[in-house]
Amino acid sequence: MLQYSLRRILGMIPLLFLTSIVVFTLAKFMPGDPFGGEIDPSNTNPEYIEEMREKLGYNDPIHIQYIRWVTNFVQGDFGHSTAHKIPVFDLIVDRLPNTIFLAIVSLIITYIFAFAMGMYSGRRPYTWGDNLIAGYNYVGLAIPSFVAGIIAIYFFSFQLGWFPFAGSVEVGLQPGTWDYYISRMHHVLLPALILGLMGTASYTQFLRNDVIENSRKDFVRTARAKGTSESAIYNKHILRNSMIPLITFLGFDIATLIGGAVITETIFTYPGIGLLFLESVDRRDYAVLMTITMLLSFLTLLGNLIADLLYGIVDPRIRLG
Amino acid sequence: MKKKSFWLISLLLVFSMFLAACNSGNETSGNEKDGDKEEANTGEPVEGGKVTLAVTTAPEGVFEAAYYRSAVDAQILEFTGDEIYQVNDDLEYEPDLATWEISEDKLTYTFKFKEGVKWHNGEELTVEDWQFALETMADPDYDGERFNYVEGIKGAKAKKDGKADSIEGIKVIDDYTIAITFEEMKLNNLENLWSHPMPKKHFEGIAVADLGESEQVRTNPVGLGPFKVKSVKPGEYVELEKFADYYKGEPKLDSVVVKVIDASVANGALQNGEVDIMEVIPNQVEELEKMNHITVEETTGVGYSYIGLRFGHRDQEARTNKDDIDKFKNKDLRHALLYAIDRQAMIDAFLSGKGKVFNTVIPSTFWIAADESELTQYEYNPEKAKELLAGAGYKDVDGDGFVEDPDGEPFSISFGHYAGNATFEGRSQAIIQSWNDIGVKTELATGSLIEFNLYNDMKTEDDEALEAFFGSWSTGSDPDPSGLWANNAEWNFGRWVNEENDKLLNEALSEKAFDKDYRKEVYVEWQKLFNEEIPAIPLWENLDLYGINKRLQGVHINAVGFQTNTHEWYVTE
Amino acid sequence: MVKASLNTDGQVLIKNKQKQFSPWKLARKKFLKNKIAMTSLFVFVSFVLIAVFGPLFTTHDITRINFMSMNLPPSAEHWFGTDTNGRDIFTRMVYGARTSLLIGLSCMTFIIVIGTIVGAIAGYNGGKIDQIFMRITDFVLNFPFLVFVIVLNTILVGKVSGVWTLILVISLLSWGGVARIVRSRFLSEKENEYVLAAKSIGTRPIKIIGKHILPNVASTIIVQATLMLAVTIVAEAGLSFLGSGVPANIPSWGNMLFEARDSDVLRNKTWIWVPPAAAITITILAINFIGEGIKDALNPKSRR
Repeated sequence: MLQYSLRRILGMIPLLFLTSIVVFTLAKFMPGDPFGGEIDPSNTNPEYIEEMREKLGYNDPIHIQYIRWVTNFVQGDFGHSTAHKIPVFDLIVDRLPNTIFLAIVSLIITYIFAFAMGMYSGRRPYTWGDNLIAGYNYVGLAIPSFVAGIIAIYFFSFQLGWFPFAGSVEVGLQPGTWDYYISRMHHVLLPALILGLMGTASYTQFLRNDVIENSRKDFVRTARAKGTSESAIYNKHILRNSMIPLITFLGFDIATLIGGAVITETIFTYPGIGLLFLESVDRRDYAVLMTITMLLSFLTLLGNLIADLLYGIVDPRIRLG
Repeated sequence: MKKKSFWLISLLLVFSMFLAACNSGNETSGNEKDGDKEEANTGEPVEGGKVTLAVTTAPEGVFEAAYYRSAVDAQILEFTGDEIYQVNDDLEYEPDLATWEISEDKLTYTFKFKEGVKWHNGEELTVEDWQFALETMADPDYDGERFNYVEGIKGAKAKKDGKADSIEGIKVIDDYTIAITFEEMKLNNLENLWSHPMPKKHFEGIAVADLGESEQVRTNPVGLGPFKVKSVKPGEYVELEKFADYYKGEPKLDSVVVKVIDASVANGALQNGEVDIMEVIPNQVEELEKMNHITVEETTGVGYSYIGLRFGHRDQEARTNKDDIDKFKNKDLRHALLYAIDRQAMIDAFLSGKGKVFNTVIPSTFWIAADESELTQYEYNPEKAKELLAGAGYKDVDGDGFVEDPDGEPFSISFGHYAGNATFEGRSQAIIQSWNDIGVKTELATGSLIEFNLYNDMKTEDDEALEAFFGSWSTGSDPDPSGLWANNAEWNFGRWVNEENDKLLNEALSEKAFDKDYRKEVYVEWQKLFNEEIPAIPLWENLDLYGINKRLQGVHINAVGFQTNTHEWYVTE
Repeated sequence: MVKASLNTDGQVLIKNKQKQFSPWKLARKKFLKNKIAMTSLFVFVSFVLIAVFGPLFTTHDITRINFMSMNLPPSAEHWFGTDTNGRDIFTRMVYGARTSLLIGLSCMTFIIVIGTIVGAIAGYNGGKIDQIFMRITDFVLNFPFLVFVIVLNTILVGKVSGVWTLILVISLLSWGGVARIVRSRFLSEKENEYVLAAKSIGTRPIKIIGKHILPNVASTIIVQATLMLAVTIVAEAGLSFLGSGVPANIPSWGNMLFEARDSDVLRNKTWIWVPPAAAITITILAINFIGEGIKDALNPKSRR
């Protein structure tokens, strides 16, 4: 197992290297640079733009730029944000916790609802309730998250006043205080509900089908024959078996949740990685763009690794492969 | 049976969600209207209070005038800073922190500072703070983008190039008096001079190269304005509190929060009272005007839109423009293109009527603007457009419904527009169909709206796809249009070159033009030239719009913004 | 949550039908009896037919701005009203169906074909081939979907014709999930006796994969397929919101829905955005129930 893990971790290095080339190439192909774009005629002059391009090395040959970027990157220097004028590292450290918080809360919501719905559907397939759940899940998939987000804000924030509509914390609260954490929770809840409740489809479907399949397997028949009660069969035997494949989903989800919240973060002005990414696209803030992309790629790799390792633990056949 | 009822239910579920959205809007506005009537009766000012200003893009967090880049940072700086001069409602420059006298030769300006003006950290403002700002900006290590504001001072270039340690043209006379000598006599030397002092003591010990990224600029800025930065939550909000020692008088409000929100919930936030004031876009206005507790203030601004026509290329090395493309050389063709467009209808459709048709490129709010009676109005007249085309030799020879050029060659225009707002698609289509309707074949450049940054690069690089292109400018308070329309200007994107053009623009900055009436006369001549030549198709000047909750009073709005008197803002509840 | 993928089950099934006559006939019978699935199929097929032939019958111009008829509520003249540019919403819905369904179906086809092929080869062979194919899959999965779509779209816009940019980008970035899932199903299926038996009598691998294993993993692929079709149709709408979708001048359901970002439209002019929203929802529900129906029909253990 250890050997397998080590091999997988080492296997990540060439992938990350390839990814870095792709990320860098794409960034270079993107039109414009931070000094093109919108021009404020009263504040900018062409000489300045040229001067900055030279200074930041945009005029150097591509491979030199790449080597410089990778070398710095490996040493933990992710470059400077041209818009915010601070190291990219600081910027990301500032935003990442928000996104992780949002991701965790929404994941918990997804899990709770998906488990409840998946177990119900799997136990009573082809019933009215099962169809209703399937319908809900597909409506959830079908409604674009920006429409859901805006409707939720107008209904829950403006109409009912239950949740704040923007930001991650109340203005003026000091970090460390009780109120601060309560406020954080209060702010994250609505976007997390939107993300969490709209994302139950794949989990529910998977769980449902797996439960149905497992319920026909020998060990269930044996349990039934031994006179185990139906609820014990479902809650103990089947759930345990169906959870195994779901664990692998968790690995995949790490990066999806962090990178996939772009729209929700935008609508709720929730200052996380997704929103930062979009802002950076608009501002052509390449150092930030490339770092976020690399970060998300890395997290995906890590997620896949975790998924594989978990899977390897529960199903030894994979390890041998 | 079960299956059928399920179908119904899932559909009902979908539609009830939609209905919830519609209802919530209507009901809320009803409630607000009732509550508002009571409010309107009690309009008395209240001590203190907090006001929320909403912005739709996040501040970048660079709170020093010499370094900021984003418009939102600029709005925050308006609260925290003050300048040597201010711009009045007629866009004229007036003394603020200092008064000045101009020498005989018009090269040296002597500034006399107000005494007793305090920085947020309690230090007193002296001319050294201003000198510090100018010296910093001429420093070779200065990495902000505003060297051009000190460039005109004698010796500034020498310092920038490392040939001098300080700027020759700055002379401190005493703590409150300073003389600035310019390199050459120019009428708008003052307008082009940097006007924000920097807190010298606060920045002490920081190398110029590190200044823009320092704590002192980013999280703990010190200014002269009525409000000071209390806390910054990046990407989310900036909390400002009043500065009691503000030299124009203690601000009436306790605090101002600048909060970032998404544009799609802006109206709801204004309606709900969570936001008190914000700059709004025309799309929002119709709904806002129905809310009784919201006033929509509008004013003619300094922004305008036009359609650029490409006449040539720019030689980036020589920094000159060459008019080497003949497509739009025919003046009647250009006039026809203008007559073809129903500009008022477009304003009504895409700007909710919040714009004003104009026929030059000088917004009417400027004191140099020519009277409309002196200009040709080019009212929508497709028949006239067709006549002009025919008269100029543009006729449909091959019977495809579109005109050919006078040589009988096929003629078509590739028109570019950038992507963004949902109305842009309609706007570009309206222009394209207007031209197609008079028989000038027009296609959307690249086949789709172009991503904004890419679009700007294409304009800068004279991309061939942009034969005609939609453009907008916000000019700032200096009326001189040279930076955008002079023959060799970088941002004269159409590359229009005309002898008379440069002659007039230079004349308007000459010594003779120190006489204001004469200067205006010259600019009126220039506008007449533009109006006759139509080197670009003027569309409309934009109105600046602000949505303000009625509980917030005392906001003075003019062409340069809404933040000229923030210390006088007050709330009524 | 784009972890699923799609499949051209339909095609696979039809091909196989001629060979294995009776089980497929049984499945068809079962499917025809399933009322929800049949209704859904009817709805979906009508949408496709409207998308394909509808534009031949519509009379309103879908591009022309009409200053005289902006923001009109539904009426006899304009069944669904007009949008903020004075264009007939019903007509635009018909053209929008073309774009949106084209994107959904094309992406689904690409993703399922690539994903199934890669997953099947890797899973069936195992060993080195599996290693190589899975590293490639990892490499593709490794790119954050939304982030790369935005970046790639910025680069490609104007160079590839609008809709196809999106289809290519989505497809190329999304097949990884399918490949993984198909592979893992193959890994466990190939240990079963029937495969071992087929191998022992020397059946060609391609036949084992196509004839023996694929039908057994079809239900998994169908679940993935329905999810992917749903996801890509919705992705189009989401990307339009971010300005990285179909170019604004091409009508699509996503572009029409984009107008709902304006709160005045969202709250007071609901006729502008409800049709595309409803169309997307109904389409996706229909796809789901068709998928479920096929799955049931194929499952010999299914109760019905």
